[in-house]
Amino acid sequence: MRIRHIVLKEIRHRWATSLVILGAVVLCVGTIVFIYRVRQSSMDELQRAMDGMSTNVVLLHEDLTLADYLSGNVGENHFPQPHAAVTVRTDPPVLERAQTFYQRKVTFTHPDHPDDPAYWVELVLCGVGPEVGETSVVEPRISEGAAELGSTAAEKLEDHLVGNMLVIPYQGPDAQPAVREPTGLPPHLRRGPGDRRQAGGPAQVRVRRTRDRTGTIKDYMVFVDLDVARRLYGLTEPDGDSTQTVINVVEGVLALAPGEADRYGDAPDDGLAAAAAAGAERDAIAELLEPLKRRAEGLENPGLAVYAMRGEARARHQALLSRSQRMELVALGILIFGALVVGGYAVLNVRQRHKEMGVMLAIAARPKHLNIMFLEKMFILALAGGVIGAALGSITAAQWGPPGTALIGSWATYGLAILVALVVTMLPSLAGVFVASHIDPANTLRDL
Amino acid sequence: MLDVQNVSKVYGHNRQAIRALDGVDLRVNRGEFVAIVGPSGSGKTSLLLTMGGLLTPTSGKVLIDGASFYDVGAPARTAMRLKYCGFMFQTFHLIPYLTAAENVMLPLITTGMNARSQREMAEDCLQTVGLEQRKDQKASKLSVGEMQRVALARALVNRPALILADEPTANLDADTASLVIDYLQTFKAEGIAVVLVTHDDRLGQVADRIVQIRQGKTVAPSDSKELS
Repeated sequence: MRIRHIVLKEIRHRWATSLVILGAVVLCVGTIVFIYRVRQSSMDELQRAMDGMSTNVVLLHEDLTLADYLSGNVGENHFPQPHAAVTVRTDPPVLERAQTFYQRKVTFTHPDHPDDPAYWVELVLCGVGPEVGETSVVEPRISEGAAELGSTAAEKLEDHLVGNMLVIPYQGPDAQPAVREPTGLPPHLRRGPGDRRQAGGPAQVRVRRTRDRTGTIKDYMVFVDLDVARRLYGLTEPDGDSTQTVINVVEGVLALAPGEADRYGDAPDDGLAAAAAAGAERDAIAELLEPLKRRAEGLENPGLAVYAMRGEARARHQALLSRSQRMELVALGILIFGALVVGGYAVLNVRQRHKEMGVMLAIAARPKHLNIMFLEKMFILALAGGVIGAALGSITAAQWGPPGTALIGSWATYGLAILVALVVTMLPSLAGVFVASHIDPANTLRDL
Repeated sequence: MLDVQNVSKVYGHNRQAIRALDGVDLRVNRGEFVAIVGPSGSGKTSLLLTMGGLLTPTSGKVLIDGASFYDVGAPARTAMRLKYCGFMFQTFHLIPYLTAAENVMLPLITTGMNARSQREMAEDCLQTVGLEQRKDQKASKLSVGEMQRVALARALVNRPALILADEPTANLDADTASLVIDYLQTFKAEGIAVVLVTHDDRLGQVADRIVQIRQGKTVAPSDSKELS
């Protein structure tokens, strides 16, 4: 006979107490899973909405983050002029292939024509500072001698993803590029020693990986720091018009001469070469830049999505945050309630078993065995409660959550469920352990 | 085998102090049947618990096979208890949701013995007390007499050299009490020392020695013949 055998029989014997503890765990886990799933689903919905607004690349001011942008912390003075950018979209294979093709070039696909190379957009990345964090973009520091992002392997790319940031080591202002500089680049995109327009520092590019509810990477969102981009490309802004900067950057990024793409790296890229041969890139450039150009020329352009996106995204994001905060308060309350119930019943359970534990201490067991027995019981109830709670939380979220909430959640959901179950059960159980560890068999037997 | 040397036990402090045992000396040999008698509150149970390594004395020593119970740490004391002692209680104290066999196995669960050996030993002991047919019955479904026999089997399962029993016949009818007394005599004959606390005259009659205790002190020992 093992201790677990006694534990399982005791759970069945004191089924009412066990049921109350199980119920408390199920309540806590179910609530947390429900809230987590609803929130996740709402974020997905917001993301889908943003995707629908067709802006995946935003040129941000260096002081700003995406969170600022979405939460409305961005004052109008940050954007005296239209600040946003190109409509591009990419997916990991394209990004990886671009890295394979040329270490400092990323290719994006057009959302309306994701499979058509004629609509791909290439972004030349020219180094980055090491101080990258998701919420801060600071003056880049040059990391002398940093390793080149030289691998062609996809996992190497992942190695350079720090949080949501793609870190491309900068070689230093005087370093020779490891990869042959594309000779056909327009002047404002050229870099290297002696190029005064490069002296301002490296560019900084942030890549945000977006995952769907199953955890699969859906796409990458790329953010380019506007100020760094200005310095990188050494652009001047006539009359302080940022729009022109944007246009210049995008033009510079896009304006690769047809046929040049296959000279950038060792491996030819059929798609780009074909696109270049077809001369379709320029059409894509023209199409992408048209709204910005019209805006820069002071023309009305209802099709420029950036303002609509910003306002609507901000409103939705704020609504989501507000709802999330309310739900988090509810979750916290339920967690505290659940922990109190579990703790109370844990102590009650030990008191119910006071004599039984005293006898066990008298005939064979040590306090450690009683503690193991007690914690094992709570662990079993925590796991059972976690599984049941996760299932109920998922079902209720699918039933009453936002439209499109899937019944099956990600592994993270179930990991969270088990974690909550263990925390809400095992921590309060320590109260029971404390009581159990103070049982004196002699006193117990004397009371018998 | 068991040597109680000048043991005292004081509960509480200062003015509330109660001296339950006051310089008790007692020696129990293998195969000896000792009955401890005395009025309520005289310290019988305290003495029994002290002898079993469950109640640390305020002063004095309890030696079992020459090893001091209370000069070692709690884990070692538990191991000594498991090696030398079997316990019986007035109200049996079986775990109600376990079967008779599982209750008997309880002292073995921390020994590392495999489940099959545990079960075989438990069934042997149940056979000894005539309960092999009831081995899979839940303890809560057993009669009072059967419960005490299961408790007896539990006290035997670790093959102790000493059985300590607190009023083992107090809750039993005359026939069952006689049966338990017979079993205890059988164990004595097999070389197991039996020390019990009792008010039962029949147990006094079968004991080799009666130790009377009053106000925590042993009164002049007498043998069973003198009592009868």
